[in-house]
Amino acid sequence: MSHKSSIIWLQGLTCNGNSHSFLNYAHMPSFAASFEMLYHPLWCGAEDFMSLLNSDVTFDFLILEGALSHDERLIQRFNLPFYEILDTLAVRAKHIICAGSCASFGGVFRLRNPEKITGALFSGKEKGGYWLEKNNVINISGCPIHPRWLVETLLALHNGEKVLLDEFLRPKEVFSYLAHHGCLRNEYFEWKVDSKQLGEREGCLFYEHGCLGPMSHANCNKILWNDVSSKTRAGSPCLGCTEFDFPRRALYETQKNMSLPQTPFGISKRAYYTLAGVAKSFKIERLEKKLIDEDN
Amino acid sequence: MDKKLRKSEKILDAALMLFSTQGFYATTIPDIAKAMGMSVGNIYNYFSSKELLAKEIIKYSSDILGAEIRKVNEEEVSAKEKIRKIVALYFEMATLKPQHINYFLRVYLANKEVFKEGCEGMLCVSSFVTELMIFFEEGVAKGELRNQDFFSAFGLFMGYLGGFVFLSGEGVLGKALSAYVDEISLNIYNALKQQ
Amino acid sequence: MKITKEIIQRIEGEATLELEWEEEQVRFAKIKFFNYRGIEEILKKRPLLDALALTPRVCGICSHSHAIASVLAIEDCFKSAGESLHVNQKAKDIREIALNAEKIHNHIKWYFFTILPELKRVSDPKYSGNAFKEKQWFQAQSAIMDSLKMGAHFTGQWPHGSFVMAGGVTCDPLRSDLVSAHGCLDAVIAFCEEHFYGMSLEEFLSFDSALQVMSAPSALSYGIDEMLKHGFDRLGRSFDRFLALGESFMYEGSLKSTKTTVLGADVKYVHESLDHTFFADKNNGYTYSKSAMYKKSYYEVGPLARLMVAKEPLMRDFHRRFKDAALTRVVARAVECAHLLWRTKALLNSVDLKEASLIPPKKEIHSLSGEGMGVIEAPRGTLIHHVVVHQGIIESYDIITPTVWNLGNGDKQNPSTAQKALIGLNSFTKADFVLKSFDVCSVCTTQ
Repeated sequence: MSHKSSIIWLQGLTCNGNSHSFLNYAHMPSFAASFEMLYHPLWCGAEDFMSLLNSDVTFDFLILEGALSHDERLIQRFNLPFYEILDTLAVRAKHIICAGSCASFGGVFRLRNPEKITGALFSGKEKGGYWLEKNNVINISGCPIHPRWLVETLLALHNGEKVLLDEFLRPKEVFSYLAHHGCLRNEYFEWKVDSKQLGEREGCLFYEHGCLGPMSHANCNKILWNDVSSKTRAGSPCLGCTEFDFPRRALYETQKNMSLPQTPFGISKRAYYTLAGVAKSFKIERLEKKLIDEDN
Repeated sequence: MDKKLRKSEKILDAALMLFSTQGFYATTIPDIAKAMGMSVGNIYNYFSSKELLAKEIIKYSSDILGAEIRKVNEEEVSAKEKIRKIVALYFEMATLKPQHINYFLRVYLANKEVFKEGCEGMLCVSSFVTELMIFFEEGVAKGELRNQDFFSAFGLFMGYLGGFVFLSGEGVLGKALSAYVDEISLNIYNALKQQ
Repeated sequence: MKITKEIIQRIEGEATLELEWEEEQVRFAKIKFFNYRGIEEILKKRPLLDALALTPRVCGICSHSHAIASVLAIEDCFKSAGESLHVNQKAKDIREIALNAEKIHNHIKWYFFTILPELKRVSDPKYSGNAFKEKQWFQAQSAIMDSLKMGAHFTGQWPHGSFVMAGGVTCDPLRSDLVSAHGCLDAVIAFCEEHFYGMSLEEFLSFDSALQVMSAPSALSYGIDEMLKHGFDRLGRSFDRFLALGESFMYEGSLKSTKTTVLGADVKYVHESLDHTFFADKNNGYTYSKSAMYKKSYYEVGPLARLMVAKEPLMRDFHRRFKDAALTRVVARAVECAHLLWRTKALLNSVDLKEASLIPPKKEIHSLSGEGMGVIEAPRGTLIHHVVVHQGIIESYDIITPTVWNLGNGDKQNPSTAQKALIGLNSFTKADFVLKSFDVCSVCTTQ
């Protein structure tokens, strides 16, 4: 009987989306074989929470979901100030995993009070959140997380592997990709054929519909959501939910300065404008037509 | 390779001179060959047709102007100051090397049929247009310029400058182009600035 | 008279239940929600379409419901400004398929992940649940994934897909997508037939007697037996007053019913109350959850309400025997799930792919001023979004969720639906289960 890693899952200010996304993990028996969920707020767990809190037993993973705050008027659980619970459990955990953009950066719920409501180690882009520094935290951002991002990271750590992290403490294996990679509309992006409206298979959503795929770190279009699709594959623009500035303002509009959009991640303006300008000079007939000619 | 490149450039310069003064159709390859002291056949070794030569010239001019504007873009000065510098360098080029602006106005704009294949859209002027895109985008990003459609801003800036150089070429302006830099820069800045 | 305060856990969050006891019986109950997040505040001064992205973040289990209510409210804004948008039947069908995927998943999840273990805990408080352990839990999890995967063919992802836009939906599926979605739905139906109902869907839907349901061994009949054992066929009764303001394929228009008398209803009679909340009274308020009332009365919303106004024969029989007890509420979810499976199968076969997915509005959204309301039936009941927009910017956004309907902050003379259901109980354990029979969503109350 191989050893199981223990998990305590704690929620700050959350919508529960990360928990429900996790429940869609496609190989749950494999997860269950390696992990013991000591406590999760949404379903009966192995242990009673108060006895867990009051013991001093250490455990492997503290998973944090939701935005955090030191202010007990903003978050409380079990009639206790949340910070008391978090501070007590955090020192007993080997690894702390932030599940979702709220726990990583503050996310949606930070917007109401950005001074007091933050992520664990970041408040938006700025370093310093609930804690100023902590060396055993991994951020799995996303709104919500993809279940594979969480489980695969947990399994790697469970197996004693080293997880390479980016500057925002996100696993590189997931977050080095851009949501843009693997989008079915890539050819339209290449040739700057913009979608005139939503609801059609054709056209790129980057220039007119606010798609943040080219600058959002995630592998959504590689591993797909619910095993079958993604926002852009369903014709909706990427909202950049894994980034520190999610949610931006005016999410369905492309921010343009003098008609020029923000350039894709890591691509210089000169390179992007030159290439975009060249592409826009041509009219590729095939790409102007319907993808599937249904008239014959 | 280097030698060939330098020779190409010289041919471009010579052709540019002739096209901008005599016109596209009036200039022949033999004319260009004569100006270069080369055989006609040899010219064709470098440029396979007069049309191709015409397109290479516009790219060449665009690269030169683009490189100058890039230098301005890379300076850490205000948008207002950048406008002044761009106007100044444009007028300087129009004064010292009028063949470039003349070619643009009198050959490129006037003979679209020559350029329609191979110079679609902004293809051949891309190095110059890209620098203006960067100037405008950064001006808006920094809150110095008003956000508007790219072409309405571009048209104002370049239409104004091109039109003004055209007037200068017609001999109707009372003063040298350089004397107008301050006034024109201010007009452009006032039109484009953030209110 | 004594007062006890205990935490109710596992209700998509938590709540504090304050019970007033007299002679070993609950005289009154206060349900307190904290951890307010303020999405309505966050939406102020944002561009209108941001509501489509942000309102799903009210709740991770009913995210599509919020997205759809939001787009309906936005479309209603266009209407109030003089442009009635035409949404094709195709887009309406896809929206319904997505909503059903969410409802079906919710009802299975709630029954197998919450109700069954909670019932066991009523008998055995030390029971540590079935999650990640019992075979049936894994099988239910698989069915849940299939339901959501079915929906994801159209929505892109669950939770928090962004598949709706004013004028229709963003996806343009192929026939092969429908076939694949159908395959997923068939897997969900297979699970429900084998485990949930213990018989074929068709047979289950033909029933009109509670006894028929109990005849086959299944998770449902097992649950009914357990509930009978603990008296939940009598406990948890409330006003026997039901409201269903959103559309359904099972009935026409907006309806309400008192016992079995069904009448028309109009959303204009809905009003919110901030009584006893921190918003109205910083000192004496005790919760962040608002109350919602229809013509000054508390009503029950949810699957039971919907089936009652639809006069569904099987539920009528359960209701005839048990009124609006906790057992009736639980069974209603199982029954509604069966109807939704059947309906979704039919929808997948009839979606007209040739129609346009989205007809964009003519009016420029940045100049839109007006107000709009979106009303739908979410998994837990009627969900209402109301927005006031000025020049494309949100001035105010109000959300009334189903849990706010069921769990209001009434007082002794006029208790809310859930408060009434708790009065007369003789143990916290019973109170805990009765409250859970409403399928409470804590995060939806503290938006």
